[in-house]
Amino acid sequence: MFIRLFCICAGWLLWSACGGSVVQPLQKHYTISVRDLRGKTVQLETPARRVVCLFNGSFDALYMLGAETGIVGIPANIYTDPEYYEAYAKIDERIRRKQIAAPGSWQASNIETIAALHPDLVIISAGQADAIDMLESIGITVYAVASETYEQIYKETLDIGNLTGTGARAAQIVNYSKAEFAKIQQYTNNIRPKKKVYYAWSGGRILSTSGTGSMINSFIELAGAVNVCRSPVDQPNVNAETLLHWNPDLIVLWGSKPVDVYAMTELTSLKAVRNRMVKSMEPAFFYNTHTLKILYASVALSHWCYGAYNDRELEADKRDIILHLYGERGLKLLL
Amino acid sequence: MKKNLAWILIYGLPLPLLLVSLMIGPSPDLQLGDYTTTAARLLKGMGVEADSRPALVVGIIRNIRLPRVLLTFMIGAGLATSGASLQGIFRNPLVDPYVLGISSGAAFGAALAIAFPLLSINLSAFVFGVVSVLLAYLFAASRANASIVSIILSGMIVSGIFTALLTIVQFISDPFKLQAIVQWTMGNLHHASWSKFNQAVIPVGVGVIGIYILRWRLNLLSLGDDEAKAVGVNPNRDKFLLIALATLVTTASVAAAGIISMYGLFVPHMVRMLVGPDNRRAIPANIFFGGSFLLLIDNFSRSMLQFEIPIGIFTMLLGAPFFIFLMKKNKINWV
Repeated sequence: MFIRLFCICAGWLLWSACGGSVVQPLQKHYTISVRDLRGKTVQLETPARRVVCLFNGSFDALYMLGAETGIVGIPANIYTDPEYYEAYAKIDERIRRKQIAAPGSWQASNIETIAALHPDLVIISAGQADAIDMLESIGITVYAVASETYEQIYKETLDIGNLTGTGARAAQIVNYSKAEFAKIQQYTNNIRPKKKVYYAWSGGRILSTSGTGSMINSFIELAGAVNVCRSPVDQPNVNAETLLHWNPDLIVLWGSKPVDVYAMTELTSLKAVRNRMVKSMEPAFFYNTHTLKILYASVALSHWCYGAYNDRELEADKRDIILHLYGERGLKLLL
Repeated sequence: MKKNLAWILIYGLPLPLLLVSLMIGPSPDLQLGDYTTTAARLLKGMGVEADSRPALVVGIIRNIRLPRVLLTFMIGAGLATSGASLQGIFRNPLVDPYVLGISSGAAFGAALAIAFPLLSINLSAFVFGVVSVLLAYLFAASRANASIVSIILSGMIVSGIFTALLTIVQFISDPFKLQAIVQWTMGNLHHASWSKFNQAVIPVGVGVIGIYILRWRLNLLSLGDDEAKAVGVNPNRDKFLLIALATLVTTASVAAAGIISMYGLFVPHMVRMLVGPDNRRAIPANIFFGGSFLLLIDNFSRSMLQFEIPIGIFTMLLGAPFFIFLMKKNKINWV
């Protein structure tokens, strides 16, 4: 008896699983349509009012667009990484109180928690292919992002603007960034000889750098300098000897302190060390090269390389860029 | 293999290899003439002028190559010796120095320090490596007699626990920190420095010398507890002492260079093929051959490309063919 009952239940479950859903969706009238990184058309009837964003660059863009009130899910590391938390807690009271759900990160997501948040839109890294498939299979609209080039950052900002009903603001900040980029390029194109810059990764990893196929390389070139690492590898490790051979004019650090470099006896003969030209991009929030703030990172690097103006003028530039990207309220809270 | 050739390979190779290694590196502009000129100046007591080419050569050899060569030799010797002693204690040819969970514990410690920089990475890796072995021994020793199987099983469980904890840290880390964690677990010597050498030399030195002194007892332990007791040896006390020494060596090595996988497994087998299973000869042979072989591999690792490929990858790519060659030519020498 039990065996029969078990067989019937198992058979029914198998049939259900294979059959999938046969519910016909209602005809929808989409007013918003964009194409994401996968080449897939992402459509919404009305601008998204409930957004789960699990990609840090796009999460930052939502604040630039003024679409933060619709955020119902954020990347987990906004709470766990003190640098991010400190910055976003200033501009969003809900983050300060840790009231927004954190159903995943750039690399993994909790589908059930995301579904329970009833989002109109999920913005997620294109690398999370399985999660994207599952979310779409349960009818959740997904916009996949990567932010690996300028063009992608521009396009993603404009698309997210359209999807959240802030298209005009998106166009405004993208146009501003493009104009500023053009100004920097006009200035730096004529600079000769170009300074040689070495970039070092976070947490004291002084001998880990970034190659030519990276956003770091883009920001160094935008600043009118040359990345000494010509390898196409994104994050190669190098020997101290190789660094001595490159002998950069300037060393830029992300998440490390200049003292980490000055303390390395094997690097004391470097030009950048002898001239005390080791600079740290801190606080990291203002230098995130995977957002439109790459503009400020480039301005600062250009200033360190060529000293076109003094530190006070650099600070004024920083305020101006933050004002344009985050608005007056953002400027007041962040600086 | 002929006895003389094995002797030359084990005891004749290290010194010339150490010297040759000092002249190998990624600097494309350093020629043989630079070394001879600099050596000639120094031998004549002429000294070197600051910013001159000989000063560069001296700086590179003294501050970059020498600490790396010594650290590499020391770690190779340490892992091989520690692997040989644990294989003898556990009477198991599949045991390596990481069998008691050291690698997982140390990796978790390092990852924790990378994600939440409260302790230095080396110290945190060392502490958690030791903790993992203590836990493994504690779990196994809760029974009246800690049998070999129960210690190995406890080690595997502890390893599993720390791997799970490591995964949690990786999950909540941002891409930059995750990259650092992954690179650490691959084993790297590109950041070798005098400071790292100084941190590792005492624990590795004490451990290796201790195992060398107790090498004859390993022969007795390899026969089994009853046989060891029959000749007046206290097997539990000796096992504990040797495991403690092997742990000291392995944890200090892992803290300095990350996880160099399989090295402590296959080098003791190679040595056994060359000199036989008697630990009185095998332990000193492991010290010299283990050090030389890792140094040889690292010479490839640091001079083949402008950026560095983690040593953990090269140990397998170069070590495995040599191991297979020896296996085909010689007896495995494991009863």
